[in-house]
Amino acid sequence: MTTATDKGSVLCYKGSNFFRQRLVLSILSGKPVRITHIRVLEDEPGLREFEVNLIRLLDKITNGSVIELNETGTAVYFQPGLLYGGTVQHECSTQRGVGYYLEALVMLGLFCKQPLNATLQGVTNNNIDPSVDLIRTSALSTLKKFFLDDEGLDVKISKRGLLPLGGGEVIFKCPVRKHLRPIHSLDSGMVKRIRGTAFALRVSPAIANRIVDKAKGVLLNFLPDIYINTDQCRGKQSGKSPGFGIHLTAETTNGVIYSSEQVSNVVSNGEDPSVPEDVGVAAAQRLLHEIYLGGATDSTCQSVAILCMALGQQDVSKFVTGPLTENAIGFLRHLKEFFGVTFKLEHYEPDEESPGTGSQKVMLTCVGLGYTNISKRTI
Amino acid sequence: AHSAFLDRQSTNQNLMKLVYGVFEKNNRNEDEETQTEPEEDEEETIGGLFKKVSRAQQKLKLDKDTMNLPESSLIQPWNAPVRDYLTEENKTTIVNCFVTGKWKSSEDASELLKLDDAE
Repeated sequence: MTTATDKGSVLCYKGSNFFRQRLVLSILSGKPVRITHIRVLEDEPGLREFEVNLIRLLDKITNGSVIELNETGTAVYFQPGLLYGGTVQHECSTQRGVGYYLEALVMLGLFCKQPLNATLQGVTNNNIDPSVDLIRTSALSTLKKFFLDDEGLDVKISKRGLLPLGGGEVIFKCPVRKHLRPIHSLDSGMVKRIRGTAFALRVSPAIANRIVDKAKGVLLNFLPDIYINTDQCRGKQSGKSPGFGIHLTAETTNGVIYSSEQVSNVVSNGEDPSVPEDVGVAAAQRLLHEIYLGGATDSTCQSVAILCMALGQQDVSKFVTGPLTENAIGFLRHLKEFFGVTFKLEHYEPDEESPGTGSQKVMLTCVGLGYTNISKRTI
Repeated sequence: AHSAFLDRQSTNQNLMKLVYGVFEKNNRNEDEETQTEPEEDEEETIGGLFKKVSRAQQKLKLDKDTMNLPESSLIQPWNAPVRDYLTEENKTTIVNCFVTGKWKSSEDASELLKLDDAE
């Protein structure tokens, strides 16, 4: 990973990796960033459509951001404005899922001036991004731990949309909070139930049932309490492209939610058509892998938890996660550069030796910054 | 990438170094670069045509491998293969993560009952 070089108050980075993290942290910390050498050696140099699209979305929820792009798009200068929030309508690029954009909003939403009410359109489920279902279950459950009153925090999927054309629609609502509370989350608990949603868009509705059958078959080896819904979407609700998929969640006795999902291949892109049975089995296996990784949050939502810990009140927070993902490691590094927070990381040793509880866990400890949302009016 | 991840899981002991070590390394590299800079100016040429790639450039190339990777918060894409958890060997690694597995002795109802009886 390239680290920042400090030029005055501007943080300078190279390359397009961690683009979203850098912009989000830039907005929260108020420090401008300059990113250069974006895909300079590739056939299509510069920012991709989805990244430009992200900048537009961030511009919509902030006031007075300054964005400068060079001609080829290989260098960006971003000077963040004030986080405003409010009602936003945004058409996301189909190159990435809506989840890519939602994740950024989940991190920023609590610190806006006005409660965020964002309507995002685009691809709701794909292979490289967390789907909107995952944001709704895992990410929001992680976020909810950090403040008491979670009224008004909601993701509603009004339409689903798959690649290549998308056509999904998601409404994200997020309240504003003055500050976050520190947490001690050491025990993830045991998985007590598994829920899920299977969907079949613009294909035979029986496919959803075939997925459910197989996924259940795998999971019943471990737990009897399994219930998987089929989400029957009709007409406009099912987006513009055909396909099917499944989203599974495992809830533990301590309210931690692990998620996994699978979505069918895109036949019009030249991939082999997926078999519903395989999709079901793969999703179930992936959920078991997520349970194996464990921790007090889903592996996908580690960076949300890390951010909330760092920005919490000036008190010690402790949090146990599964093995850190590449994304979380990058996020820890960026947090140090933007906010100067260093986490204490160590392998978590439970009080008693218990075999068969998955991989080695990591304990994150940090003292919060005492970040307060200055824009929120005190009543 | 998946196997690398699994390796890392088992081998690395010092997480702090893994995550934050990059800063120290970078500072050190900068020192090295300043030392080697005078040599770079008189770049060696092979046959008067091709320039030899200097070490600093090689390092940059390595950086380039990671610097433009697509960003995703997923640990791996959804369609990446995972182990088969139905085999006995893998099944035993996670079986106690479920309420159907063995509970901690402080929470296990049958253990607690035994304690009650003993009193």
